[in-house]
Amino acid sequence: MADTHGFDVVIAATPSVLRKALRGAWKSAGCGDTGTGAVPAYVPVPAGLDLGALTTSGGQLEIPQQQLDAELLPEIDGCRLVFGVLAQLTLADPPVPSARLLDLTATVRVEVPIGLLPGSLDVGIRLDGLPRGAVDVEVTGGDPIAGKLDQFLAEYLHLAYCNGGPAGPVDLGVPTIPHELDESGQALSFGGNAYTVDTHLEFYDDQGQPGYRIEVSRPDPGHVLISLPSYLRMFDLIGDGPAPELADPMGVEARLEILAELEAPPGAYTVRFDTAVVTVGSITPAPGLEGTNYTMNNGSLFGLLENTLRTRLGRQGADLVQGFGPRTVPVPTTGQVAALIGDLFHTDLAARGQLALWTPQAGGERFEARDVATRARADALLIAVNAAAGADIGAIGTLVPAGREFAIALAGPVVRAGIEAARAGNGWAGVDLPRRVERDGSRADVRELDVEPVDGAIRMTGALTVVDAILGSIDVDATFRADAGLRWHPDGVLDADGIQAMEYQVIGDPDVDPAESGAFWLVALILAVVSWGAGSILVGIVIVVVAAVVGGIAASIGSSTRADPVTGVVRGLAGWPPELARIGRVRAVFHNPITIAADGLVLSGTLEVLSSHAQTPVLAARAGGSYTGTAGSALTLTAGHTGPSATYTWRPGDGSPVAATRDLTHGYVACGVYLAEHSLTVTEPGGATSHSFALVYVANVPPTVDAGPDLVVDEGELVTLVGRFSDPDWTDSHETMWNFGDASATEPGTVVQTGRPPRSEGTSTVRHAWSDNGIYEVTLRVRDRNGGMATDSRLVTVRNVAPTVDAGPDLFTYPSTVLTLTANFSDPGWCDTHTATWVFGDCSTPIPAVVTEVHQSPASRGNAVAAHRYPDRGTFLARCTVSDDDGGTGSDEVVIRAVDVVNRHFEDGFTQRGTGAVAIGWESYLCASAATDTAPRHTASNIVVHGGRRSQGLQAGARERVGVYQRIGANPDWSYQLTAWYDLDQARPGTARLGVDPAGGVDPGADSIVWSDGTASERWSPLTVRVAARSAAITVFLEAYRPDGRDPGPGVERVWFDDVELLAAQPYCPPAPPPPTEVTLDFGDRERGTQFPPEWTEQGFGLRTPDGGGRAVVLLDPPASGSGLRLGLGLVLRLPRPADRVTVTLLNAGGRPLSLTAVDAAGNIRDRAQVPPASPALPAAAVLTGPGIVAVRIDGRGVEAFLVRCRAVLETPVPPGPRPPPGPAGTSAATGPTGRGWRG
Amino acid sequence: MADQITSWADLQARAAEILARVNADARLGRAAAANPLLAIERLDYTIDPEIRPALADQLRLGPGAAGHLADLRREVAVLAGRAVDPDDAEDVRRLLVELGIVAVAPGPVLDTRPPRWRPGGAGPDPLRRLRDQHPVLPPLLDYRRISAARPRFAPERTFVALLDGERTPAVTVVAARLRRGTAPVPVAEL
Repeated sequence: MADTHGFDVVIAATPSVLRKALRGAWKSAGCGDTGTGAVPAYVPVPAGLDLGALTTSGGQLEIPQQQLDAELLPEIDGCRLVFGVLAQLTLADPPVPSARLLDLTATVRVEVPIGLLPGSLDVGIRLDGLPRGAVDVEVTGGDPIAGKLDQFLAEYLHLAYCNGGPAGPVDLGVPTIPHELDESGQALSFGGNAYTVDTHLEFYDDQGQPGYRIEVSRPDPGHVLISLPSYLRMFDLIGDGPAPELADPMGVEARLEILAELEAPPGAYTVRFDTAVVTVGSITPAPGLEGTNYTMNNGSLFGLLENTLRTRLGRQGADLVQGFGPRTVPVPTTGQVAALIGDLFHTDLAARGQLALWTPQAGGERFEARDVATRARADALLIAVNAAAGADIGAIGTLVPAGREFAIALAGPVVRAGIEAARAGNGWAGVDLPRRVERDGSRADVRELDVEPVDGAIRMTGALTVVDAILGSIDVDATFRADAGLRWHPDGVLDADGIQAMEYQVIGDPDVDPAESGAFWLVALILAVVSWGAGSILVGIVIVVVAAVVGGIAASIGSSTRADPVTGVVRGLAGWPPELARIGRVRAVFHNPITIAADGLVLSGTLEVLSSHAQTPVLAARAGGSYTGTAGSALTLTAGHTGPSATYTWRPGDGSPVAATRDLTHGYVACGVYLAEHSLTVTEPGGATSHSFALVYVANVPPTVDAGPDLVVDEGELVTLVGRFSDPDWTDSHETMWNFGDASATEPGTVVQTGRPPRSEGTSTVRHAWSDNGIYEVTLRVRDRNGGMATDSRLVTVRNVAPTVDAGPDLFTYPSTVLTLTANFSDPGWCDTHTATWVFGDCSTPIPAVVTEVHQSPASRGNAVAAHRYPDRGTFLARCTVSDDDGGTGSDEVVIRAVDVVNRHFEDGFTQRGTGAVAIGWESYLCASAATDTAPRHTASNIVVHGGRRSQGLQAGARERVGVYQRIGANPDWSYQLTAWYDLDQARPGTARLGVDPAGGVDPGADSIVWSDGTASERWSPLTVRVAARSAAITVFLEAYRPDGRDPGPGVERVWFDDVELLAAQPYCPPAPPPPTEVTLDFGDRERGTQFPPEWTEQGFGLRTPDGGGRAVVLLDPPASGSGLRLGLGLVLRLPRPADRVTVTLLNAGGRPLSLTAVDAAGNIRDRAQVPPASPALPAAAVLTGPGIVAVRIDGRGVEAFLVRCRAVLETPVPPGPRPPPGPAGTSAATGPTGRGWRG
Repeated sequence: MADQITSWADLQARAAEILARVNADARLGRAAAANPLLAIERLDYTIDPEIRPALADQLRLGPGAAGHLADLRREVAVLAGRAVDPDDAEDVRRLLVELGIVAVAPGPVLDTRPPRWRPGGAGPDPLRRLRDQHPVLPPLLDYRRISAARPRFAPERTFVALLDGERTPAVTVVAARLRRGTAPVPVAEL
């Protein structure tokens, strides 16, 4: 066992010694200035390292001391160092927030040779020149990405949802899930019933409400199942033909179940959205009236509605999701992580040069070895000192006993040499015999003596004579054999003086049990001489042998000796060189037994490696795992490891400065995932600084909202609603949605918020008018950019408003005329329907009017028409009363004057005037330069008559115009036909004239008069004139006309007029075609390459570029998207007419959002919108709403963006006064679109 | 009939004969080195019990010390009121109880064993702290100290073990011889 095979001393160290040296070196990591010769406790991870397609931002590799291990590798004559690693890698560009920190464990194995350190006889682990291939890393505990894949997928989908928020995409590499999708005029059919409907589809992801949160799971490793909560609102339901009326609005909630393939090629995860299958989960009625309406409608449609909605939602979901295309997210592979750790370890270890294992020259002790050889075996590292010729380190057997960590074998010859030296030194060499010894009054002559190691003892044999042993005269001759073993005292530990002495132990010592040893009387006396007690021969020799052995070993291994503090005799030995270079001290203790054999001596023991700063505590920073909190609330980041001599820092990760504190109570303003960094520095000598990272999950705090107090308004009243919200996360942006409880579209409202600490206060303002009376539950929902929602409702009581009636201006009517009476009315409740009645004021029976009305915001307009004939002249008061379907009534009156041509048959008498007899009711006139005779110019003829007994005669002298005229009440624009019969003097025929002044003037010379001349020779011919009245009267002129130059002779020409007849025609105005309610400018089908100047007009739109440059039509990519007008820096669209809703469809393929601004005629901004970059690049619509929008300004910002179309819903102009009479009666049905609500 | 030794002179007279017979038997020789009286008795000599203590003391300690021990034994007997063997632990214990120096059990058992010999002289006496407790103790302690100044004879079981070879002492061969002209008995190896 003790055969050293030619070496003076052989030291055998088990792997345990390597392990302890390794751990000692670890403990000393913080001691040196360069780290040479030590094992790193922490390896920092620099920023900027490639980790697959990602990049590190920092991190740390922590090597816990207890996870250091070592094993010997005979094949490389070295060892394998094993480092357990707690790795924290932080990523600069993680695909999802939680991937910012990769927390993993790894095992690093480094195969490295053991040998003499350069230029010395010290032995150590050679790290200099360490090849990269010698470092192997195994990531333990599984793939750090795969283990969190579900969480990462959920975060990815949440990012996609946040991208659809009001502030535009927050992560351009992630698809965008829009929060809302509005579509109008959608066709729905159920069996044979068809409807058009407007829809509002909304998606939710409120992390605080499980029912409204996007859920992500993996039903199997190859698929991901995304459950997307949605709300579908349908309103403005218009049935086609016989389709039954449906309750309006209605709403449902459902989850879109999106099953997409999940591919996991190395270094990436790909979600195949493009082939995703979308199904619709359970469809449930939305809360409130909408859900009730849905249930009712679905029942009346025998369940067909649910099936249709399921199909529709599924299609919409598939269109949305498949548009995302395949989405690939790069992730580091475990191999890449292992390679990075391996690189860091290799670089670090190679720079450390060596790790000392056995450094006899380091401690300044006596070291007299000539040479040192090493050999790594599986069970022990052999260090062989002083080789003799033929020494063979490979032949050395096992030296270390079980349970021990090292052994020192001293060769037999060395032991014997020590014994011989001890005998000689004590006078017991062979030449010194015989030698007399006196002990306890007895005398003995030692004649023979041999001392040598045998198995188990140092044996002394010899012969002596005890003189006068018995009765004073009897000598006793005796041979003896005494064995002395060696042992350590104390065993396995050092005593109070730090001594572990090598002691002899006389085998058979009577002190132990005299009865057993037989040491009585003479035997005892002989043994007292030979081996008992300090004065015995054996003890005297063994003590020196011990000193010689100890000294020899110490000199061979460079260890220190320990002397008896009293006698100064060397008895103790440090089992290992006391210094481990750059590591610290070694405290070795020996354990019994000391093995003595004929071929040598074996000492064995255990050791501890004490770092130079063994008392310095080892504290690794512990950030405490992950934290969860809520935005705006204090969260305490707690140091997981603490100590009296430690200092700490915390960097919260939200941009706040580093805080030098152990526990940091910090309030995160905004929700999100933060990377908090914690450091701990042990301030004692040799103390190290370590870092630890933790993810802080700060949950979103949804806003709170107040929709405002209940309200009482009139129908049609444009009301400004202001809702207020508050959010502790004052950095959040918010979007709002107003649901007015009627069948109108939801509106986003205008959001204004403070965005200042300690909380963001905001308002959402919207204007709305209700089309009908009732009680409406108005709901305001506020959603922050993280999907957190809050909802509040207010009740709005809408009162009915009676219609306003305008019966129009006073009218003239004529006995032969059928008068059509038209009263216009308006009702701010534009969904009200109306009936009307006319009372004519002539004691005739009132009759219902024919009502024609248009139901369109902001008020319904209509008229009530009835025809009546007033047979008698007179003045009448007619009244029209209009009633709405809610019982409101309004009325108006109109004065009807029934008139006719007075004395039109000239039978009612004449009055004598200066020029003759003038028919009553008529006025005379004479236009002459000078009278040529005295004959009367006006006569009442009873001879020349057309009918009856009188006619009006007129006699015109030369260059005279003689006539009568009469003003008759008229209605402007009416047509009047006057007919008068005339007769000429056959003897001296003149000219008869009938004139009508439509302006009602009395000047016969007025140019406005329409004349008709008669010169017919027949008796009694008619003259007819037709005019359109231009004022409230027309004037009829009957004249004898003798113009200058015709028959200038003296005398008069006679003309008779009789039977004047007036016919009045009420004008007929067909209803004007309704103005267009929607205009569209579409570039989607334009020919590619079409060029436009800086300013141009088409389809009523005016277009102008802000930069003065032209624009061109390009083909969009993908081609299925059609064409578009390249926006460049932007475009200003001027609408054909003011609009209250403009939908602009754009494709934004750039990196920034497009801004759209709607302005009214006064330049006031009515609405704003943004179109984020589309992902995938598909057109998206922005809706701008507000009253009186005349132009939309698109700020292109120079990004790659295109205008596809602009559609404007125009306001309907309503003339201020009564409308012209409507068309034919009987069209009581409402015409035109019937909006149910109107947004101011 | 066994030859009886009744005095020191008898023993001296038979010394040569006894040595010869002991030296002739190696085991007996080694056993005799541990207890000569038992060895003598093994050779069919009988020893008068009356002189056996004095004979043992003389062999072990020499004439002077043996006489001193006899005086002390008598003094102890006078002071104790009865004969006492100071090297007998139980006898001494009884004496101390009788004198009221130690209590009867229960209580800690006082070690009353005599001091042991060790190279250099007697070892410590466990009763030394009682020296002033009673007049009998000083002579008793003196007796025990002197008696322990030289190695004691082996008890019979040890002697028998040596004789039977059940014990192998470090002293392997023992041969005794008279110095005055007597040729040593030939040495026989074990």
